[in-house]
Amino acid sequence: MLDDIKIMQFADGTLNSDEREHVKNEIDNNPEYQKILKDYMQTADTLAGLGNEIRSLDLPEELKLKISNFNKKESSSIPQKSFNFFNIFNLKYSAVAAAFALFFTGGFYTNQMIALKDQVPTMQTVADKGSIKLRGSSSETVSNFYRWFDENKFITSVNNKINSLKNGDKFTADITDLNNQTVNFRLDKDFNDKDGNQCKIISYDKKVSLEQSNKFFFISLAVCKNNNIWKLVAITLN
Amino acid sequence: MLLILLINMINQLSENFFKSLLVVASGISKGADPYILINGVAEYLMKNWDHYKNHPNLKAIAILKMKGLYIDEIRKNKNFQNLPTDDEGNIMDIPDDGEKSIVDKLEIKTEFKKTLLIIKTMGEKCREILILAAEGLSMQEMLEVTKVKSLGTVLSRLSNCRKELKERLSNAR
Repeated sequence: MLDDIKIMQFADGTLNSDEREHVKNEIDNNPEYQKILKDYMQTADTLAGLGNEIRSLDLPEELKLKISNFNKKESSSIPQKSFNFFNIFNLKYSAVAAAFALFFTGGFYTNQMIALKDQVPTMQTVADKGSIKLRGSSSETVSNFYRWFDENKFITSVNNKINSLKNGDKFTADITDLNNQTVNFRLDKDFNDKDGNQCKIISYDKKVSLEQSNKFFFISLAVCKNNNIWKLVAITLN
Repeated sequence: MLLILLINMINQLSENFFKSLLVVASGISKGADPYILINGVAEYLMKNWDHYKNHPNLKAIAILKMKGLYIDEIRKNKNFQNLPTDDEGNIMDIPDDGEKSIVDKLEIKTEFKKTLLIIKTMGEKCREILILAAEGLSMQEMLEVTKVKSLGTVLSRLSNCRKELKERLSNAR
């Protein structure tokens, strides 16, 4: 017996792998659950579509100018001096340093690490993710993954290679793990988004661990074709 | 967890950050112009940036501030001085007049305008949870913004509101 909340979580991809298998089996064997699942998937698409549509709007020029001026002022207020390693009380630098120390000395135990050392200076911020949906076991984890994920490399490779691939094929995207092992991606399945654009699910071919917590995640990336260009639209960690 | 906290300390006020807020402003702001709300939040955050720049969940802070601004805005503009509020201070009942013209200001596809109008005719709690889901907030972030007691309540509310949304969308077709 499943409650609707479990079916909703299954539709949203937010169940852990143990529960997911169980819930999937129950749904597969019950047409009533399948109907509920379909309804939840539709509302997920509707809400995601609405969010993406509003996010695609341009901000008023006045606000854009305000943001730009503010950021200029903020960046000019940061003292332009060389980095002093011993200035450990500078919170921003020490926070980053501590984060990298944790990261590169075992904070992230994994057999397939996404981050590259040369990504560090240009680390993406979640605030800049645009319309990409981050879905997963926890917002922190999936946001953290996004910060370290080299979206440009990935999407460039996808655009170069996707036409010659069929579902089930594996490919690389010039991304290596922390041990310099090449990360493999697998083309999983096709679907169409609400606007009828052609989309595909691409997954990491192995589970990935992002923290020193022995937790491993399935990571899948949804890409959709718009104006002949494949773009990343969602990242899901399960 | 420490790593997450440390990385999260570095915030940024980017255009995309405000576009995310526009999603929420468009849905929760019944009777108020969403652009006025994000302008208000921008001014507030910029003015108090030293206080918030290292906050681990800036978006939740911004949304909560926006909810406050929304209540102030409609009280100021519509002279609804005595609107009934629930335990959380949310206004419970706002007349629908003018709502369509506010949604029409958003240059989005007609089908999304219809969806947004349907969401805006729903109760305060559904309106809030659905628009937070549209923005892609996690359950934990929804918990922080809605200030309900537990994640179970968030899940239950979201589940029920999505059912109601599905029904209303079906009836509208």
